[in-house]
Amino acid sequence: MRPAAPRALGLPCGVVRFPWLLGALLLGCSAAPPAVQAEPWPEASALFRGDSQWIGGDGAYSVDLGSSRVLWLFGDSLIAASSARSRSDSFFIRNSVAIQTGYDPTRAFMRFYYGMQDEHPASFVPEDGKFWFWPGHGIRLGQRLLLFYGRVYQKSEGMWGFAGGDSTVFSVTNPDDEPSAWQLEELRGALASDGVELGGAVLRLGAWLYVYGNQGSLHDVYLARFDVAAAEAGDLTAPEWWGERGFGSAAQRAPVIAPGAPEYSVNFAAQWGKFVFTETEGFGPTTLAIRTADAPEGPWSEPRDVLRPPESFSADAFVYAGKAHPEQRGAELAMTYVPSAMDGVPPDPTDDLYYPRFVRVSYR
Amino acid sequence: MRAVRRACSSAVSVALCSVALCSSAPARAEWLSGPSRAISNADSASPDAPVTGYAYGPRAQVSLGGELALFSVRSARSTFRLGGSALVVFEDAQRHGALPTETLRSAFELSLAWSLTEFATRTLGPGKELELSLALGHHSALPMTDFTLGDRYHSDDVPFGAGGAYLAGDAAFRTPLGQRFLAFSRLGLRCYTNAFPDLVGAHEASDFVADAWHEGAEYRAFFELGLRLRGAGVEPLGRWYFELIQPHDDSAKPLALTRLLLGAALPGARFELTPFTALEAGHGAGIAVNRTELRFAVGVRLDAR
Repeated sequence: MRPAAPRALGLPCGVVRFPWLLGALLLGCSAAPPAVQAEPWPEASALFRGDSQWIGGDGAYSVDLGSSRVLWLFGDSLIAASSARSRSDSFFIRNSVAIQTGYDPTRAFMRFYYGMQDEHPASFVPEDGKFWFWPGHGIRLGQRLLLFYGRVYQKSEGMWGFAGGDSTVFSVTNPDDEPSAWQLEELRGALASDGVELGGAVLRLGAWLYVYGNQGSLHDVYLARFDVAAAEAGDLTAPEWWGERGFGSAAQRAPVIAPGAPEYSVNFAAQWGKFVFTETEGFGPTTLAIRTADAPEGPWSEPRDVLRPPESFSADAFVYAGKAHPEQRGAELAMTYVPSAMDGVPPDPTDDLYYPRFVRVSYR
Repeated sequence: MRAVRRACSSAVSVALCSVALCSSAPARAEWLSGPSRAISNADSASPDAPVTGYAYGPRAQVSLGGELALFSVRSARSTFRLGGSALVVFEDAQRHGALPTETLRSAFELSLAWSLTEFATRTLGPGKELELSLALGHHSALPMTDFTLGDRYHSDDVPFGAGGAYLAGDAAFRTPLGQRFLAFSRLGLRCYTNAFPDLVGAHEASDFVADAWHEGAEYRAFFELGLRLRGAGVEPLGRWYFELIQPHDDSAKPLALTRLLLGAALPGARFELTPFTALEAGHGAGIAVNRTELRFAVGVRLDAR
């Protein structure tokens, strides 16, 4: 599980969402993104349910590897210890990956990968001392696959006792091979994150690699860009940060969204001609929401709810990790979220919770 | 936004002036002095009216409710009432039995009502009454025992029975019509907790509040009219209620409800019994709030006088 810290009640300036006249009829409206239609997509969600041992995970970032292959990156994952596929008899690992073959999730094939240690399932990206790695987004640049991970440790007891250390980037130079055969290398010192947990979303636009990241308890979203050629060479040491004077030094950086979201995605929607920021909005029984902007740095609109997942009709729901997956076909835009429960323990056995869920979105 | 601010400042100005006027007249304080409002909420056709009663159609509904002024200050010019109301409703959402066992709905309010006796008489005419009220309230909807609503999920549904905690304001007006009729109307607005951060542009905070406190609605506006024939032993009455719910989620659909109630009040010394028929169209009640139905019910209400 990758619980998001509750957002404090910040009071940003902004337009009034519901311009009401007192005593008049409801005239509420939102200056947010265009309306979309969204609905659960259970046929696609089955993609995550077909493995005999992988029985749940969160995160669910996707990276198009090309040639009909999509890499999925999961955070905390459960690996069944027996054919009963019971979560009470499972191994808990900090991350795993999967390869989806075929872009239509209703017909694609999915194979999951994780490590093995002492003949037991282990994290795909192994722990480093007290630190474990939760995934961020990634991108393939030529023959190099860059994967962003957050370096996390347990600061205090309990479900919410984790703390983010820093972000790091791993490089894979043979991404066409099976993940079990990948040459996975942490590019230590190659990522100048300047205290921002970089890697929430990664986007290539022309000669620039745009990488979003978070900082602070309100998950303010910052944007850095890197020279694509340098990034392809494994060098992420020279970011330009978005700030009040455009892209420049870290000293002048400013958030592009504040307060932000702990997990999200950014993609370009050609139908709208806009960039779309997808997130789960709120805390607990949340909604899937989007913001839009004309440029990757914004200005970003206020969020607009596109769907309240069925699980979020339960008061003790914990629905999070909302993201879009523009590489998927069969929908104008596919999104996922992860439903869990507030007590933090995925129900057992093989309960419906804690598997990512697909949502099918139609522009209108 | 400017209109909202202007309306708020006008309301505050009127309130302060009236309090000043009130303070210059001799006042009398009373405890437990009858209904919480001069123009009682129990006279409403609203499904949330704090009354005790039974209704059937197409499913059974038993309600236990009432209102009471805890404290009132009465002068020749106006009356303040600090009071409250409570309502618990047992309903069926699927069964058609005589006694409901499936869902529970509750509504509680603490209100401050200000009856502008002199102002209404002076500006609107003799016998007319005007009352302004503010209320803090909470309403919730729960299934009873292990009941689950079997309705299909829709992506634009409103969660949590559109309940939550709210601040409400309303204005009620009552007037005699001729010698024998008494008419009233009420216009009100409930603002749920999540609405207040939104009013200052803090949408993230609004989402957080709505999720944490399980509020599906952001605003609920209502309007009602009533007419009653007075003086006869049996007093025929008609009431019409209309409400709109603005959900918190952008993706949810607004809900509307209208209800027409026709009855005959049988006034007694301490209670009033009102057999009635009601025709209702629009959203359902409680956890069935996303259901749209046309309902016809017969029932009886018992109000304290």
